[in-house]
Amino acid sequence: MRVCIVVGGRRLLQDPLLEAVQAVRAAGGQVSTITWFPVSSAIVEATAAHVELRAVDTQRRSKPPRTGIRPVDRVLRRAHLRTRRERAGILRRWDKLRRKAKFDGQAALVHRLVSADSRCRALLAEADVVVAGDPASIRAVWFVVKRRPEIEAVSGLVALRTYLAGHPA
Amino acid sequence: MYRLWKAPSVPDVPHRPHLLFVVWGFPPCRGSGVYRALATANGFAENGWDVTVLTCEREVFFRYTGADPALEPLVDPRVEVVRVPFDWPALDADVSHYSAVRALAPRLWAKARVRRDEMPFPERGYGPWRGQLEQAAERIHQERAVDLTLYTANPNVTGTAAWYLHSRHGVPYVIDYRDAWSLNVFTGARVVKPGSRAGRWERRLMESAREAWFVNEPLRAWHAEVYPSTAERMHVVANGYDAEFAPLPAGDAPDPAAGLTFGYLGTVAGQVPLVPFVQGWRLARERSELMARSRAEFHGYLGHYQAPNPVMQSAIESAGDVGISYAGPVSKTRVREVYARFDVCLLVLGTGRYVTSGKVFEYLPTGLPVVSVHDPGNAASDVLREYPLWFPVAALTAEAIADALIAAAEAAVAVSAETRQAAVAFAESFRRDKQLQPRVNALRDGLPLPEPAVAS
Repeated sequence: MRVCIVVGGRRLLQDPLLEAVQAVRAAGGQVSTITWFPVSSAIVEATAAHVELRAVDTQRRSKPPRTGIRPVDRVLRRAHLRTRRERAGILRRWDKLRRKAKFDGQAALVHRLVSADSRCRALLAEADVVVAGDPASIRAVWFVVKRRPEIEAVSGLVALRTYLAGHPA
Repeated sequence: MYRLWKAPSVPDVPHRPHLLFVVWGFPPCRGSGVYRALATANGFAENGWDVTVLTCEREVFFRYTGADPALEPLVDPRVEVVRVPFDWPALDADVSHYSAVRALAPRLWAKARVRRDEMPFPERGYGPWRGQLEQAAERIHQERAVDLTLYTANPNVTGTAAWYLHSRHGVPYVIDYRDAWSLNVFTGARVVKPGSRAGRWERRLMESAREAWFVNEPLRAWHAEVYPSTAERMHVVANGYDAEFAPLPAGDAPDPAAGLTFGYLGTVAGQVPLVPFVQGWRLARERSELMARSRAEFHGYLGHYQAPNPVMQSAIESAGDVGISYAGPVSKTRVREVYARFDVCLLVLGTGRYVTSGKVFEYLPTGLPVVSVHDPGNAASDVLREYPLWFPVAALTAEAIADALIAAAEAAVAVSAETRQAAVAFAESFRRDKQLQPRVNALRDGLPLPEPAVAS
């Protein structure tokens, strides 16, 4: 049994994660982890593979900002400013709607990073069980399970324990 | 007016009243309230009632709360169990079942879910069960007329089946409050506003009830004050202990050289003062040599769900260096075996004058010293006040807890056979059947006589 645990939140409780990793190993399984923050050396040693999402994000952000050709003509310049104002207005309204609908920004970011990173994709592709370790990772895990309905996907480290109890080695 | 049960045409067959018992936590549920439910169903069946239990599907307990399959064979074979589906989406951990809204906007989904839950009945998580209960109650009543409905709360949605049969067919009903709806039993604060939907439902159910049962006198008194028109129909039916599973009385005093085993058996609720207990235990080990050789074992579930609550588990495991350990859940059928290990019983409870708990009764027949680590004002204190080997803490401080633990340890090694006998004899009045029997008799007497059989 190959288990991949995703913990995308900005708060990582190392001990419960380590216990979960040890529980999978005790059940005869192999574990890989995808987390936002760096994990303790004990977790890294106990896992077959580990990917740190924050590092992936930093790499992406370190790319130079995109630059475009600025309009030099007076008319075009004015049109450009108007477009920027309108775009800012639309973004403001979208942000308002997003807050109202309580969309989780971190979950979206985790999903984007997991989908974009080849190492994460590989870990998820070879897993038999994918675990969303916290609410921020549910979206990423949900998209995985929608693409691969044959795998098991559980939400929460506590649920992983229950799963292991029901699937002894 | 309610419909009379049609007596069979054979004149010699005695009238057996039909009880519909509506309960959520029924075997194989492992919840603490399940023993009361089991004893109630069996108690009525033994007293000549035809009992139909209306409860939820077995899988619910295996999937969400934890189950104890060993309890199922303990249900009296005369009891008919009708199971109806119960959905608990909020606790569903299988991500493949999640809708797009739940995955993309989980907080929005949770908010919408609560509103949806409370639409049929104002109770989060359980409200949607109302339809299933009412349909099943109607079906059962059509198959054989129900003479009396008894429902156990919480969850309070079980009352809707009783109300349905009462309003449609005039069937009287009894409320069994093993918890409270409007009252937070730990803080004593009112949690349901009288004018709210839940408040109106409770008033309606309370005012039309044939009887309302409560687990202790403080709870009964609070409800009697809030619903004075029902006060005279309110009774205390304490939890008591089940004689067939009760621990056997302890034998000789333990050997002090080997140290003592302090034991806790039961569900550890979130309100249990584990941290003060651990502090008191450490202090007691520093102060007493006997305590330094002793150990404390926690048996049972940590929290109300199947997997142990990680915070509680780490609180206990962090004290492994001073002999405190967690031994996991125990089946009801293994209770005697576990009690046989104990030299002193630990009653660690949350604070609240309305809190009794079931384990206080189960501890009594052991005849062992009981250390009460809870607020002295708890209702459990009223049960134990006359118990000869009771060691309550004066306050929930490390010093007071250490004092009580040391006193109990010393009493455990020095206890005389007479004191032990007195302790066991004290327990006798708290047998569960002795608590339930007077109410079963009163209800039986209150039912109308069956129609005379028609001579053929």
